[in-house]
Amino acid sequence: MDTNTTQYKTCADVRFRVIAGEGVIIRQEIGEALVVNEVGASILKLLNEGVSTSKLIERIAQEFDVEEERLTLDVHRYLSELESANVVEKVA
Amino acid sequence: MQLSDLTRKFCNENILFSVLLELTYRCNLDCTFCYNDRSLKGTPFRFEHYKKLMEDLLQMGTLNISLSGGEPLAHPDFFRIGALAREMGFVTRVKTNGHALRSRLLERLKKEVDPYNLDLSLHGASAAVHDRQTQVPGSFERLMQNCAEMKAIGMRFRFNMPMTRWNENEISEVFDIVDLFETSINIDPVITSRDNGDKAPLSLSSSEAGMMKLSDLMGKRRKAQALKYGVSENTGNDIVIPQKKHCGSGSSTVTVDPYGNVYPCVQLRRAAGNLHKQSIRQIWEGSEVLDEVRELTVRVKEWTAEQGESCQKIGFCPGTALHETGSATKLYPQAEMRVTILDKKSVREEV
Ligand code: SF4
Repeated sequence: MDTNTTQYKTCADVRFRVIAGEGVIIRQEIGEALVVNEVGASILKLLNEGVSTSKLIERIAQEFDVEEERLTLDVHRYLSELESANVVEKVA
Repeated sequence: MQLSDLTRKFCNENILFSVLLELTYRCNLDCTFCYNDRSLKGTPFRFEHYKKLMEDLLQMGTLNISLSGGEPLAHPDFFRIGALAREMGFVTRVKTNGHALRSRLLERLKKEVDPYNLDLSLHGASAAVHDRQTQVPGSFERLMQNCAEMKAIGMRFRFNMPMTRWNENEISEVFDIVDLFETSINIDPVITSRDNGDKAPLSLSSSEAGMMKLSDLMGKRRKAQALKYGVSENTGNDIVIPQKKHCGSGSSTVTVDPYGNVYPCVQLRRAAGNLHKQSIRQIWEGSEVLDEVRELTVRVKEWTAEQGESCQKIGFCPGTALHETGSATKLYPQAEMRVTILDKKSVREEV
């Protein structure tokens, strides 16, 4: 089960950039491109910096001025979606 | 938002999304129509220079890097440059003739550079034609063997083929090779003169009959693909960002030659600056040449619209037009031929 201490990172074949406020994700293995919005882009950027889920929630809450409690559920859901899409994986 | 919309946005807003690095003009093949100017002089760009460039590009949000040539593997620092691009999270493509890419070298490329894709040059469907163009006997057989090895280790590749008078009668068989390796091909029907102005390669330009045949074959393939995979339809809810410019030359892309000269793109070779003297950001934000080219691509878009539908469909290249005719808004002979073909086809379809 996911907890706030779980740490994620982008999968080895994933390339990611924040360009003009949009997050561009390329999954090299299957040649797929995904575009995520500003919040999604910030989440991936923080993951790439090695930030834990709890810190990530704290930082996103501050950056976008939303309540941490509401955000927690959304972030967990979002991370598990990214995990099923093979964009991120748990750090062992 | 779709990536295609985003790339239009990058082009409209001058965001440097893709960079093509011509690492060297040296090559292990000797293609008859090669456009590289091997007499060009300057201080060669080495690993430290590319490192600095990639650090700057990372800051600027650039995502795509293509390692090209000549033959990029002939650059002494190729593997270090490729590995660094990977480490920095660039989507890296390698444009190579594939001649050297087998066994240990191929494995090394996959392991150290892990490119998103290889763009392999194919010049025909038989040794007689391919080898005639590369001027290296055995190069066709070698490429086919190397492709089989690439496929076996999961290296993604597709083909690039300049269409010429020599290979235009083998297009159908070329598609068989493409299907055999379950990949795709980009066939460029335009041969240009060399970057130094030498017009000799133009004598190899494909004929009108060859272009007509290509156009028919491509049409058939597109239809077959659409039936196989289903045609995706626009839902009507998508916001489609209109592109203000004809192409991304100097607006979302640049090309860097082996001596650090920066050009708006691979065809439009007006130097916008040199990376030995200025950073890429300084050139990108301050070059008058890039500003002019950005305006030019807006004008070209308007001009092609004025010329009619066929002209908008042929993949007109302002860089080639400038090089071949001295004006970016003038049809060069092969573009003219393609417009004629499309016009003829549309009359045929209407009848
Ligand atoms: S169409 Fe021609 S000028 Fe435009 S980006 Fe492509 S190569 Fe350059």
